[in-house]
Amino acid sequence: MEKKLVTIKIARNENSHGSKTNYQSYQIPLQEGMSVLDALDYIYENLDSTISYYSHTACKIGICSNCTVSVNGKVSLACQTKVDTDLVVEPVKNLKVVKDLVYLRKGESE
Amino acid sequence: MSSTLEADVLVVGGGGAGLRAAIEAGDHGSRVILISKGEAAKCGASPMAGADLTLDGKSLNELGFKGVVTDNKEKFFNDIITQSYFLGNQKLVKRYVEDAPKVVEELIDWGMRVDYDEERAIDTEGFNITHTLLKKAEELNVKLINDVMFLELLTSRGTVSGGIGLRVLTGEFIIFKAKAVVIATGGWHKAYIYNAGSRELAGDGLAIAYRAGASLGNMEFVTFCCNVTHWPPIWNGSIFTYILHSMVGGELVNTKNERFLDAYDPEVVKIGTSTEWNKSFVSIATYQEILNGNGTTHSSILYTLKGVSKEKAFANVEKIYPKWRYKGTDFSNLKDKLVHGSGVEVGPSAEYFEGGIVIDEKFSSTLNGLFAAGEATMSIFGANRVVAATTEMLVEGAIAGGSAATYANGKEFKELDQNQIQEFEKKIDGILSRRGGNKPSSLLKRIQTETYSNLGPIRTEKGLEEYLEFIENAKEEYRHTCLQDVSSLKYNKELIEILELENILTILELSANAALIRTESRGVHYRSDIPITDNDNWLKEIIFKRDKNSFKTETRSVDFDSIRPPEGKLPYFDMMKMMMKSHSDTPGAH
Repeated sequence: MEKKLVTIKIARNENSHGSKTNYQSYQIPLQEGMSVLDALDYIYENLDSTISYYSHTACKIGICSNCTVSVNGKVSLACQTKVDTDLVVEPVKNLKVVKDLVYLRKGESE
Repeated sequence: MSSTLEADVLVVGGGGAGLRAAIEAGDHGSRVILISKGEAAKCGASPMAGADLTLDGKSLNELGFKGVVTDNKEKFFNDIITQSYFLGNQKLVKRYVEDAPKVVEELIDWGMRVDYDEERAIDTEGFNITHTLLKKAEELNVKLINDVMFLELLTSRGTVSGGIGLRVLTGEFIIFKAKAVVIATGGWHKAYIYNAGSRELAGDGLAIAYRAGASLGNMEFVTFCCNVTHWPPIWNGSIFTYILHSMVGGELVNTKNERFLDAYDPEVVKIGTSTEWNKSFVSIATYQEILNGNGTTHSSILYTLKGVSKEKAFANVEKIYPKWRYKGTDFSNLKDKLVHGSGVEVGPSAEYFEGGIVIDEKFSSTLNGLFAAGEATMSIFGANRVVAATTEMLVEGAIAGGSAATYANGKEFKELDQNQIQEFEKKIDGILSRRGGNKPSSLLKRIQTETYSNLGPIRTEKGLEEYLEFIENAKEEYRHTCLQDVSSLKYNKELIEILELENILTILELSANAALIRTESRGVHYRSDIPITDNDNWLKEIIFKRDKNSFKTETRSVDFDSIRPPEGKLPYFDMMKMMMKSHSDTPGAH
């Protein structure tokens, strides 16, 4: 049986100086029990290794909160949010974006 | 190079060992910088810990907890040494046993919450430990810098003078001038496709120390936690199923629905599933099933609750983990899977690394000015650790931090060696100018899979030899691995991975060589081609030191100051049973 495909639309912001956000869409095969973090990993490993999302450290058990992103407009932990349909993934609003989905923590400066 | 920062003591690692070292150095009056690859107190293995803090029952009782009054430090010491298969460092285990009540009491004084107590442990959460430490470090004006990956040590005339780091968010490099450096970077979980660690644990500190001239030892010993969830991906790496099995029991079956543990000595199975012995025993037995072709496609066996009185068991689980929530993960579906389904896919996952930087009684490495603490050290627990690594990180962090501060006190900063900095710049330029090679993620995936298969819970000479050939080829491929996007180093995930891969490859080569050299089975190092524990020839440690582009190997005898091991050669599982039976009368998991 063919695997179901889902579209993950990701906010790409290469320029931190306030340029308008571009979105890029990726089609990935849906896997049972896959998290948004797994989906981002899939894209990074197989489709586009230039995407940035905070993942050089990650507890994957929902405690460090460093993978927090906005999924379909809702603030979510990427590692604990299941993928079962098409998604839009963006950085959390009102925080300074470093690149794509990576932003500075509250109170931190570049 | 954009900026230079100065510290008397530079601590590398934002987990428990690093934070505790920073506190001690700060308390000694040193100016301390702590760099953390992720966010301090939220990365490393420490926040992932369940977490128990172990100490002898009598001291525990004196601190006002349950404890077992008939227990004492001597019994605790003896149990740790026998369970280390006599490779434990008796002087330093004595120190662990001695200092454990002090560091635990201190933590409680600093505000750590205790959830419940056991015979030889108190239980809290890893997060409570690291956050208590973080608060204390901030009170002592430790300068914390998050999201800095440590890349290289700088030395002048064989003495540490500082180091180089990468701010991963901005892509800027930082130079550190430091009188002393403490490495507390944990293990190398990332090298294994199935691991229970946090993602950044790539053995950076070990590889960097080794490149700078420090010795590494005990590299063949890797502890696998059994019964860790391997599938579905969203639960992969969680130890909740391990905890569940320890708490309520249940059945472990292969894909033919056979209870594969029934093939082993019932006494070994009993102790090997109800105490911390489970990590070595169940991991080896499980992996044997997988090798026999009776595992799932995710290197797993199946965990079910067959034979367990579910109502009672679930009430117990829900008392500690309301709504089946473990840490930040919702396991309510697991309950259904366990009751109605065929079980959940669990298996051994790399959890703790006995190998690391060779240290002395002051936790000073063989390189002047370099100290180490926690999992990054060559373990004081020899071939098998059964007591808590959380207590270990506190005891060792305190010693290493104090020693580093004492060493730095009154010393001047060393002039930085500009040649080393230029060499480093050349290395980075080299990486950035490569074109047309493979992506780092592709190489990493293959390394993780091969490592789990050949340097996992079961090893053989043939497998290790083929694996070392694979590593040689991987090293060659690594030299051509390149970034797809060199236009910006801002959160450049591929740059981070390439830098990690160098460290991972360095460590795996040493670890596999040690596993090949050790022609016996001991503790968590199980060679199915030589299932014999050889006390005539192998009560020794294997130590590596860099020698230009290769390495020198030496073996070091273990001091038996207090208790002596049995002589002769014994089949591995007989030795395991003997070690199990020599445990003191103190009950409990440790």
